[in-house]
Amino acid sequence: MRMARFVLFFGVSLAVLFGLLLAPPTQPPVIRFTRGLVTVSAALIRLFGGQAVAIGDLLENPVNHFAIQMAYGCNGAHVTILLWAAVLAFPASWMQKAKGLAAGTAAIHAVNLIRFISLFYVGQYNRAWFDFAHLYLWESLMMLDTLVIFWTWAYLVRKSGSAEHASAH
Amino acid sequence: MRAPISPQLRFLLRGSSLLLLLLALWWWVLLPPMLAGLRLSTGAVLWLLPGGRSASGVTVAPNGDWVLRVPIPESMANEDAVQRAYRRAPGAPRVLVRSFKLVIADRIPTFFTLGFPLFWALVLAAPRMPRLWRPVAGGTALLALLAQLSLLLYTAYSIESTLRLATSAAAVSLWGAAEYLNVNVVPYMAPMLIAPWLHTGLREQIFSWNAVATPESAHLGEADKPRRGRYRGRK
Repeated sequence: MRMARFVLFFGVSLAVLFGLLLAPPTQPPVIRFTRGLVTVSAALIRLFGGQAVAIGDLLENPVNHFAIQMAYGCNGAHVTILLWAAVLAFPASWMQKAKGLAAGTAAIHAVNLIRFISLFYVGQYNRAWFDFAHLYLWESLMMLDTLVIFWTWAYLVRKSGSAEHASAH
Repeated sequence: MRAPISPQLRFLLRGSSLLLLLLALWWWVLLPPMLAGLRLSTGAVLWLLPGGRSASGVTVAPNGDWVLRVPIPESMANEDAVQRAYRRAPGAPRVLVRSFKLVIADRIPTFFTLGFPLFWALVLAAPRMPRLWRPVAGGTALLALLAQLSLLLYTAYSIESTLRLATSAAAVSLWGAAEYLNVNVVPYMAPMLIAPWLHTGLREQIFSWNAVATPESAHLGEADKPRRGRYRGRK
C-alpha cells in the first residue's frame, strides 16, 4: 500500500516538475541558473590554476579557444527533478524532506560541476572520448549517483525514525 | 580494523565499476547487433502499417544515419499541410504521397539502447538474489520494447515537425515536450525506475519501510538470505 502510494506521488511529482521545467515562464530562470553554473565552473578551474572563461553558457579555454556549451539538459535539472520527485513522495516529515532536497540538490550539482569540468578537459584532449563521456558515461553515472543519494537520505530518515521510536519507549 | 562499508557506498562503487565495464562492452560489442535488431523490428512495424507492404523500409546510409521510408495513409497524404509540404501548386491536382523519407542521425537509435548497460549495471550491483535472471530478462525485454516505442515516437515527431501537421500552439508544445523527454530523459531514467521495480532485493534495501534493522534484530529479506553453501560474506 505504501509502495503504491509512493509510486503514485512519485509519478505525479515527476510529471508536475518536468511540466514546470519545460514551461515557457521557467525558461529565463533556468537559463540564468545554467549560466551561473558555467561561471562557477570557470572560477573553479582558475582557482586550481587552469585557464577558462565563462561566456554566457559557454566555457572557453582562452588559449586554444576550445569551448563547450552547457545545454539545457546538461545543467543537472533532470536528475534533480528525479530526486525531488522521489523525496517528495517518500513518507517523511516536511523538515526531513526539506533537508533531503537541499542536501541532495547540493550533492547532485557538486557532481555535475565535476562532470562539466572533466568534460571541458576531455574535450580538449580527444573529441571521440568527449562524445562518449558526455552522451553516455557521465549521464549514466549521474543517474546512479542520484539513486544512491536518495537511498542514503531514505536510510537516514528511517534511522532517525527508529531512533525516535526507541527513545519513546 | 577496516570500518564496514555502507550498502549505499558499496552499491555506488560496484555500480560505477560495472557501468564502465558494461558501457565498454555495449559500445564495442553489443551495439551493432542491438542496432541491427532495432532496425529489423522498426522495419517490421513500418511494414505492418497501412500501405507499408508497398512503401516501407529502413536502410543505413554510408555515414551511418538511418533512412526510414514511412508509409503515409491516404487520408493524411491528402491533408493540406502535407500537400503544401510537397509543394503542390494552387489549383494543381493533388500530389500523390505514398511514403515519407526520413533521415535519422545514428546517435538517436544509439541513445535508445543506452538503457541496457545502465540497467544491467544497476541490477548486477544490487544485493544478490535467487533467480537473478528473471529481473535481468524482464528488464531487458522491457527496455527493448521501450527502445522500439521511443524510436517510433521520434519518427512520428520528426514527420510532424517536418510536415507541420499540428495546428494549435498547444499541440506543437506537447509534441516538443514529448520529443525532449523521449530523447533526453527516458533513455537515462527508465533503467533507474525499472531496476528497483523488478529487483526485489534492491527495492527492499532502498524502500524497506520498516525502521532500520539493529544488529540484534537484523532481519534479512528473502532476497538477502544467504544461500546454503554459497555464502561468502564477512562475519
